[in-house]
Amino acid sequence: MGATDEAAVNLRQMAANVGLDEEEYLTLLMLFIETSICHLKQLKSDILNRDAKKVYETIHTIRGAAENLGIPEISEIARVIELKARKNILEGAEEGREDLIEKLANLTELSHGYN
Amino acid sequence: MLETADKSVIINKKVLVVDNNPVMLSFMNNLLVSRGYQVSTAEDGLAVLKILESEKPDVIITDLIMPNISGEKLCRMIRKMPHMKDVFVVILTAVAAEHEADLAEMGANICIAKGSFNKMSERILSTLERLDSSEPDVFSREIVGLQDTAPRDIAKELLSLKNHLEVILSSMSEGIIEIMAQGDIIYANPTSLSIIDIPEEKLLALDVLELFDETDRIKVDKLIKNSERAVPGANGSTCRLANGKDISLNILPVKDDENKLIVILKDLSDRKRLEARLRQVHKIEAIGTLAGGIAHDFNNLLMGIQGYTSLILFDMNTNHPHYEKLKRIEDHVRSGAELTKQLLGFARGGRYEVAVADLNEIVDKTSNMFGRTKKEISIHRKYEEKLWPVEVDRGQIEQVFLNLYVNAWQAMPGGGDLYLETSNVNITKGYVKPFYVKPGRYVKVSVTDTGLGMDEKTKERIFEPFFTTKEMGRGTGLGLASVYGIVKGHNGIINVYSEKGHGATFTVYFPASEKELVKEAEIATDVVRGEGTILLVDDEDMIVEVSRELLEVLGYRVYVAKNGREALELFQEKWREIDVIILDMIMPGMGGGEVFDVLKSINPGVKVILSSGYSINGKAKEIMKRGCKAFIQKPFQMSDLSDKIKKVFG
Repeated sequence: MGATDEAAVNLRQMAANVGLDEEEYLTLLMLFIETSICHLKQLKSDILNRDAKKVYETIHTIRGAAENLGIPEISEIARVIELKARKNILEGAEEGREDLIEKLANLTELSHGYN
Repeated sequence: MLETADKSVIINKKVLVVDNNPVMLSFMNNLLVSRGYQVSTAEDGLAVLKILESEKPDVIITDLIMPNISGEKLCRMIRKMPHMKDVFVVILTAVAAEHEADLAEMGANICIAKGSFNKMSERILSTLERLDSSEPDVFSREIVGLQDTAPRDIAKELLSLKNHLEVILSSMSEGIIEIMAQGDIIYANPTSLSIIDIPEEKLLALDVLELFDETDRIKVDKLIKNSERAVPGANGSTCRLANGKDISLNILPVKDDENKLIVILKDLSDRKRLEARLRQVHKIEAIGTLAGGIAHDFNNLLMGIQGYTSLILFDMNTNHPHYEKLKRIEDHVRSGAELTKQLLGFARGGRYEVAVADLNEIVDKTSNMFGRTKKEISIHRKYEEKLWPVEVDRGQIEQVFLNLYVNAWQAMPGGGDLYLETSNVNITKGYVKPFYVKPGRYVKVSVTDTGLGMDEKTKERIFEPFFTTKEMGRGTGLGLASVYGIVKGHNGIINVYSEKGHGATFTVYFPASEKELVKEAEIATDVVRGEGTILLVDDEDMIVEVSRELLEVLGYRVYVAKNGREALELFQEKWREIDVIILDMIMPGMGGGEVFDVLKSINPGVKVILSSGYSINGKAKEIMKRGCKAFIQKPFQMSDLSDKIKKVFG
């Protein structure tokens, strides 16, 4: 099975997990990727400003959407950053953010592979 | 995969979806449009309020936690809009289980837990289908799909943070409003609602400029535009709201992406009231100073008349044809002295024979005295059993209460009830602020009548001297003015509460004393002749002449000094000879206090009787504390003088 086929299988499975057809899921996924890129940029400046409250709010949005779309590898990372930020801890937030960028890149690749 | 339903069944239903997550909005839009619903979407509560101005949806599905206006607040606001009474409200939230808010109280019909799209969509569609086939009342304010909600620790913490901030904002004494960059109000704490007098549901989404009086809108607009340069904690600009209230206004930037602003409002009505009160206090003080000066000169004249009358009467046979006439003169002088006493009391002068006293006893004695002459008044007394002692000039305090009773009696022409109550109270810093007295333990006495009461205008002027509501000739307008002066002179507080037609309550507070109560000694009033040498110091010729004659008649040898310097020279030379000094307190050049200090340095055992018509700012009290033996109030009779000298001689 080629990369494109594999992407299609994965995406089909992800869509099925949340009860959507592939096309609809893909639309929402693209929207998620697009908004999450903006949120991650925002997150970077929140982290640099040491604004734990803002970090907390921004990451909360990413986590919610990831849960809706059934993407645990993203919602789990987001959840860890969120928990720490709530306690005013920003150590590891930047690393977490970089992990999220990587996961988003994978998702982007997956969606492109499907297309 | 979602199945498509028969669109024709529910095609007419309009659904408004509110969520700040675009993924969620897109999903909901697709889901509902595919089922034949007419769908509108909004990213926050503020946008919803704009939509609701022109649309009336059948169903609103809203997230709970959103920026600007929360879902909970939005629900409450929707329910207060008359045209939204029947709209079916669905709360769609990831924090369903943690949110302790009562759905019914919030105004929501049902709460659906967020989760993965498939489960969530099933719940939403089934709810809408049920709604279509039954009455909205069948929904029992339930939470659907709790088992599939996301891990709750974060959501719970998010809510606790939100609630924590809400508690802080609700308890602030300043009004806090959050506005969007273009001026739309998105948050208002309870204090701001009470300052502005507009309910929350009408206030949110309103342009902040509309809150202000038209004349101040340009000013506020400028403040908004210059908010970047605003300094937190700086003094606010004074503006007038559309409801007429004056407020202090600060506008600070939130410094977020949306350029929101925080508007801080402080109600200045209390401050204005306080300023008005202070102005009134200062006005009364100024009139008092003027009245005191006149009273002082008048008192000296009375002293002359009184002294010479005493001298003529001293060795006059009671059968003498002029005896009765002279007695009448004495009576008139006494009435005149009463009048100046009132004025001096108001000017915070007069006697300073301060001693520890029991106000229960003074109230009891004065009210009994008053009650005997005014049978048409029923007096009701309620005394605190262990009333704290106070340090007062007994004579003045008796005058205070008698004046208050007389005032009450005059307010009840057909008779009525007079309620007297004493109690111990602790007064706080905030309460004493306009009165220039210290907070702490006070004894409170209230005098309440069931009379005519007063309007606001009368209340404002009630303590001014010569202000009277009675017709010309019936009242001097000095009674309450002297009450005010005496209470102030004792570092006390006086308040009046009254409404036209509903009686009045005068409340006086005197600082409690740590000292113990000592029983008052009887005062002798007979004229007693004596012998010895007295140095009389006074700058007023009339006083000197009459006092010298009085003293000589009483058997004393008299030296006279017309000012402080002369007195000191005389005393320096003859101090072994001089037994007692009668020293005027207020003289040009060296005052009585200064002279007393030097006299004491010459002879520490010097016996001085301080003499005055009044004292300023408790000066007499201070000199008495420095070792002066007695105080005599002008105008004095021969018996007063003989008694004081006898006391000082020991």
